[in-house]
This record gives sequence, structure tokens and C-alpha cells, in this order.
Amino acid sequence: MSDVPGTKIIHLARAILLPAARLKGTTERLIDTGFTTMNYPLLRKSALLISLFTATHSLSFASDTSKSTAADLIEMDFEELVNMSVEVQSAGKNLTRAMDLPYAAFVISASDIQNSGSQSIVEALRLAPGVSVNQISAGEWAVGIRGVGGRFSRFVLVMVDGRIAYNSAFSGVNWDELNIPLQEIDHIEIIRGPNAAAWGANAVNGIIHIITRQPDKTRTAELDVWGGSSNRAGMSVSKSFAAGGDWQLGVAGHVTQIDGLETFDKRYEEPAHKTWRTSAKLTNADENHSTNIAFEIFGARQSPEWSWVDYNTVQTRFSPINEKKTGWVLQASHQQNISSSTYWKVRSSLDRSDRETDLYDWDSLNLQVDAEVVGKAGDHLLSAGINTRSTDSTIAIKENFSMAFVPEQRKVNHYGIFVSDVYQVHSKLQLTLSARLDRSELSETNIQPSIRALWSPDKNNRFWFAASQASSTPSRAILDISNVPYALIPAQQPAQPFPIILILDGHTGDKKDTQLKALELGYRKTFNTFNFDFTLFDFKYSDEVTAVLTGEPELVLDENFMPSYLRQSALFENSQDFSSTGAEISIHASLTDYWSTQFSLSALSVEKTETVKSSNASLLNSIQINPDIRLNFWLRYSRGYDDTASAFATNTDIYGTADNYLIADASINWSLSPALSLDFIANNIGEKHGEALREEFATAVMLVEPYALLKARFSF
Amino acid sequence: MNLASIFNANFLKAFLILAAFLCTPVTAKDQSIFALRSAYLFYFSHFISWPEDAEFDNNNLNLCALTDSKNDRFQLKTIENKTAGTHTLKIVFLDDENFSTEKRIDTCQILYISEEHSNWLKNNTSRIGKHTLLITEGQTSSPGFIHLYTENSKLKFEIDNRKLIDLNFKASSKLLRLSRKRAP
Repeated sequence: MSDVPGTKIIHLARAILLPAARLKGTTERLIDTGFTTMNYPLLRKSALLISLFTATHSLSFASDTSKSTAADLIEMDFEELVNMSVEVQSAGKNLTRAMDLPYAAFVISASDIQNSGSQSIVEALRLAPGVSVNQISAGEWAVGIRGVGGRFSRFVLVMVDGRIAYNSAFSGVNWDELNIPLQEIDHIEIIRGPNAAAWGANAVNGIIHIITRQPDKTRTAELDVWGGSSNRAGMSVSKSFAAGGDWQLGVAGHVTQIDGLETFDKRYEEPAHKTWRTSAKLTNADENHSTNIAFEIFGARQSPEWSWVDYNTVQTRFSPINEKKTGWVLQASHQQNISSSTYWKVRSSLDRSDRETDLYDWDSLNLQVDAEVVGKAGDHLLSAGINTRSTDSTIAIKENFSMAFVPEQRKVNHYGIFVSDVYQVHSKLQLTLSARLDRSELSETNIQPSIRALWSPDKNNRFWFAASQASSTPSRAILDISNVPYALIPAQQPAQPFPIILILDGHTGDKKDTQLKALELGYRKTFNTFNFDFTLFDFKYSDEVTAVLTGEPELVLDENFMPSYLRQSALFENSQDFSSTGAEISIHASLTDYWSTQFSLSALSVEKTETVKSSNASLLNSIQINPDIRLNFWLRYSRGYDDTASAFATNTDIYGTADNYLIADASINWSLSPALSLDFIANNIGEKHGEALREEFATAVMLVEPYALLKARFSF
Repeated sequence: MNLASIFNANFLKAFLILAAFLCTPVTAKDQSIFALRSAYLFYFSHFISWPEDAEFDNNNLNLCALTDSKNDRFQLKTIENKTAGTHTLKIVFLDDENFSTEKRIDTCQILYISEEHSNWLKNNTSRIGKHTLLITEGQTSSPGFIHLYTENSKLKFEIDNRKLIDLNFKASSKLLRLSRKRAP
């Protein structure tokens, strides 16, 4: 379950409070020194209203494209060129090559995904600087940008073809719902830093936008079949057809089985994670317009282990939760070009997911409607848009689980408006001024402004600076939960004769939004054979959600009227301030005409109750041995990137901690014939390691293991 | 969702006013097609093997282009002297006034004919040597071994692999896989 208020701090309470309580020894001292002074931020994201990412981003790219030369393009993989749109996409396989963007950005192309050997979208995100990706269980991932990550990608706006992919009820992105087959990914755009003004609330720390391929009747049909160690298996298929008139139809689907993980203490091993998805897309496009309609159905089964406090036994319970999920997405968009640089676009989506587990049922229905217009007037590139989003969620807690949502069902509406002006002051200076206004029924009205400057002293150097403000609106889960036992503090004789259960019981009612004020500075340089991208940032967060104790502990009696435990209530409150600083480097080089490499390095320091530092690095080498064989070798390093630890806490957890790790992935792509190609993949080469703990209902950290895979692709 | 409340008053008015202002037609030249096409030509030189008896003067691979487009010329020049396999890519423009077109054709390993010169091609096919990879573009009644065309905002290509094999060229599997079926 995503972002259950209090569940986040179960882990934190265990990590911080329990040792503190043991040391202090008394309830009184616990209260005096613990909760009233410690802050326990919670995962939360609001639903986001305006989704102008595609429009504005594409335009930015288009601007860059007009400056791209063939010499720039031949640094890219030919497969990327073939998939590139003539009109709207850029030369930038990496945004390090897209020189003229006044923000930190990165693009992961379809070729990058193939070369990396990644088997899911989240694995491929590891290529981008500033992005932390850590596996929790077979189907759960902690993904963050510039810290503040966690299972639900807190403060990250995730979109698929412009559709916002999170549920505001729990303020989280369910990555297992984004089980899009990899061969259907055109590219993934990653913006680091707040771009709320351009793209909406909750684009606080960054944006991940997944762009899928459009139907193309001239493209060959593909059938991928794979199998590997530890019962990994799957198949995917895609084919496009002429659908009458100027319409094209594309169908695609996959069935995948991923082996479950095992806890580090070998106490529990997950069964396999099974997932499937099928889609049908219609498109009708020419140089003046583009109309797209898509329908997708998906499902997943998994059984991660959870823990929670049981009131009756005053014990922590551990149990696999058998989870079955189904859902569908209906999406339509139309873009009408008025001129080569002016267009309007409307987009609408309706999606539903039904999740049934042993502990809760959670159904959600989301409606999103956007409209936007982009145009050029003199030296000004202007864009504006409106957006609405309605999220209707029902969370029904089962009897054997200790928490409540009141009311069970709630619909939340959001809406917003956005304007932006990219002003070419003179040939070497560009200013971008933008602002958006958001309203949410769960929150106050927010204005999020930003100013960006890009200085181009010559054709090979770019400096950019940005000052911006972003906010995240609260989730239902912050407001509607009650009676959540999020930590159990065992009795300690003689000072503390009874165990304490800390109960989270809603919000104080003073609903502020978490605010971020950000400063960013970037520098890019291109050389003949490589380019370089460097970014510094300084983030100041305020009014973050914390938990505070309320009232005195109450003694609870059992059914025999004997003292059972002390009940200590707590409420959410928006009162925490913290900050983070960091740096990111990205380099792409063509070492020879057959050897390319991309490198990224990120370092982050979060100042909260104490300073927590983390870093990660990625080095992907691709060697074209001959026109039909490519060898790829990817080194990944991660240090201190336990998302919980790096974002909120400094203490270790009783369930283990994430490891620092250095891991290699290797693959060979071999085109045997036009109809058949093979991928030999060996991933996670190195020691078994733990990458992340679930911050809610955490159990022992699970170990990520090496595996090998053989994938055959048939084209027909 | 209460759409009425969302599209009410101030938000919608502000949007419509701004939209009306922004919809002023403007024009801008997009050159990306030229850059893409030149990049394709470069990659064709990578993914095609010439017959063993093909000759390369000074190990140069001459990419000859018959095009009137300044953008084509500019973009092709940006890839001059790039390494194409074991050869160095040289760009030769056939419409240059100071050379003999006939002579130049003999030395072309790749011959690119833009759409506006498709008639020239129709009348001069016999002059093209057996070791010259002919690449055409757009609407033409005489498509080359490789034919480029634009569809749905994408630059695509089709390959006449039978003709390539007959003349002892070899296209890589990857190139053949990435080629497109011509839309009916």
C-alpha cells in the first residue's frame, strides 16, 4: 500500500525511536526527548493538475534540433535516429548534448535501454545522474531524484505520454503499474530539480516522463522471448497495422515472470512476481496534426512480506501479503499545429486500478484533462495551459489489519493554470519566466514561480542558472487515516513496565503545503569527441510533514481488564524544515567510431537532524565489434542511498540496512539476421546485496542477486 | 469532477485571452530533416560492405550528392572526413559548376540523388557504376538501392536487398532490420 500515513514512520520510529527509548528508559523521557523534538516526515504527494511537460519540453527540444548538425547526430546510435521524429525531437540522446536547456535534464533512449541490459523501466533510470534506483522486493522499487525518494518516488512527478502516473490518495507512484514492455519505450526524459512552474505540482525534485512508441505500419512486427536463471521468463509482442484512412493501429503486450527476492536472514523468500500488460493504440498524424488514442490493460501478482503492530497481541506481526492487481488506462490526445512553432493540444485520460490484498482493498479512478497552447511571438516563446484532475479512491481495510481510513471513499479535484515565456534577450542570453497556480481540495492555493537564465558565450559553452519555488500538496492519506499503530516500544523493566504503542491519528488540521526553494547552477561544454554537463543545487524545504505527540499516554486494558500497553497518540503536522545540497556530472564520449561511453556521478548531502551523505555513479561502455555485434558493460556504484536514510533518518534499522555496492551488468547484442537477434545478458554481477527497505510496514531487507538471461528477438 | 467549477470564470477567461494572443501565426525553418538525412547517409556507409573489387582512392569513401539544397550541403559538410569503417568520408557535390559531372560519378562510392533531381536520374542511370551505392529520396519512379522518404514526421528508408546482393554489396542485419516496408 502506498503512503499510508504513519507507515513511513514505522520504519523511522523503529530506527530512531526504539533505540532512543531503550536508552532513555522511561516513557516520560521518551516523550520529552523523542517525539516532540524529532521530526518524522511522511511520504506525500498531491495529485498534479497541469501537465505541460510534453508541450514545453518538445518545444525546447525542437529549438535545439534546429541547431543540430549531422555531425552531432552521428554520435547517436543509428537505431535512435531511425526512431527520431523529424520535427519535434532533438539530437539529444543525452541532454548533455542538448545544449540549450536551462535546467538539468537527461534522456534515456531506447538504444540506451537495450545497451544497458535493463529489464524494466526503473532499472534503466539508473543511467541518469541524480537518480537513485534501489530494489525493495521483486515488484517494489525506491526511486528518487536528488534524495527524498522512497518506494513512492516522493516529490517526483512521473508521467507516461503526458498522463500523470500516481495516485493522490496515497501520494505515491506505484512502479509496478508501469509495467510497459521495454520495446514499447521510445525514450525516457528526466528533469532534475523543481520544474513545478512548467509542469505542475509535485515536480518538486524532478520529473520522469516515459514516452512510448507510436504505431507505425511500416515497422516490422517483433516477438521477444526470453528465459534465464532463477525462473526468469517472459515474452512480448508488438505489431502495427494500417487501420483505414490515415489511421494506424499498434498492438503490444507482454507476460513476464521475475524471480522473488530473499531476505538477508533467509527467513522469507518471495514467490515470483508475475506481471502482464496489453495495449492497443490508434494514431493519425501528419505535419499539421497528431491524434492518438490508447487503451491498456494490465495486471500483477506479488507477495511481499509486511510487518505491522497487532493491538491484540501487542506484538509485531510478519506476514506475506498476497496481492492481486488489475487496471486499465484510456488516453486520447490531439495536437493541432497552427504554424511551425505554434500549436494547441488537448489531452485526456481515464485510468482505473483495483488492488486486492490480504490486508486491504484499494480501488482508484483518475480522470485528467489538459489543454495547452504554445506559440512564438517575436523573441518570445510563450506557452500556457489549464489542467484538471479528479482522483476517486476507496481504501477498505480488512479486519486482520490495524488501521482505518475515514471515509473509505473520497473524490479529490485539482485544477491549475500555467504560463511561461522564453525570452531571447539577445543572441547570447535567454530568460525563462514561468509561474503556475494550483488549487486542490486537499490543500491551499499555491503559486509556483521560476526564473531561468541561459548564457551562451560561444557555441561550445553554456551556463545556466535557475531560482524556483515548488510545492507538493497533501495526500488523502495524510488527512484520512486514523488509529494507525506505527511503532511498538517494548517494555523495559523497571522504568517502563508496559510496552508503548504509538498511534497515528490524523492531521493537526493546519494544512500547509511542503515548499521548496531551489537554486541551481549548471555548465555544459562540448568537445569534438565528448560533452560534459555539470550541475550544482541548493534546496531549502519548509513545512514538511512531521509527526508530533499529543496528550499523555493512556493505559489500555486487555479483555481480562489487565493492563496491556500504553497508548500514545500522535498527529501529522507541517512544521519541519530541512535542506539538501549536491552536485551532478554527466559525460558522454565517443572514444572511437566503434566505442562510446557515458558516465554519471552524483553526490548529495541532506541536512536534517544530522547530515547524511550519499552518492552514486554509473559507467556504461558500448563497443560495436562489427555492424551486427555490440558489447555492453555497465558499472554501477551506490553509497548511502538507502532512500529512507538519505532522506529522513540517520539511524540503522533493526531489519537491516541497504548496502553500499559496486555492481556490473554485461550484455551482447547480436543481430544474426534481419529476422533474428539475440541478447545475452548477465546482470547484477557481484555480491548479493540489499538496496532498500520498504519505508512502510518494513521487514528485513531483501537481497538482490546476479542473474543471466537469453533474449531472442524475432522481426517479421 | 465538477467540470463547471473548473472551467469557470477566471481560469478559462485567462486561458482563452492568452491563447488568442499566442495563436499569432509565425514561421520558422526546421532544418532537422537535413541533418537527419545526412546522418543516415553516413550510417549507410557504415552498415554496407562494398564488393571486394571496389576501389577506394587513398582509402577515401566518396559520398557524392546531387542536391540543390543549401541545408543539405551544409549538413553533409559537417560529416566530411569522418571515419566510415576503414575509410575516410569525402563529400562531393555533383552540381558544382567547375567539374565534370561524368567524371565525378566514376569515383562515387555513394551517390545520393535528391528528389528534385529524380528526372536527372531517370536519364542517367546507365552512367552509374556497379560499385556505386545509389540512394534516392522522395517521390521518384527510379528508387535507388536505398530509398529515403518521410512519413508521419519520421525519416524512413527501404532497401532493395536483392539488388544489393546481385551487385555483391552486403547490408548488415541491423540495417536490414531497421529498414521499413513501404506503406501501401
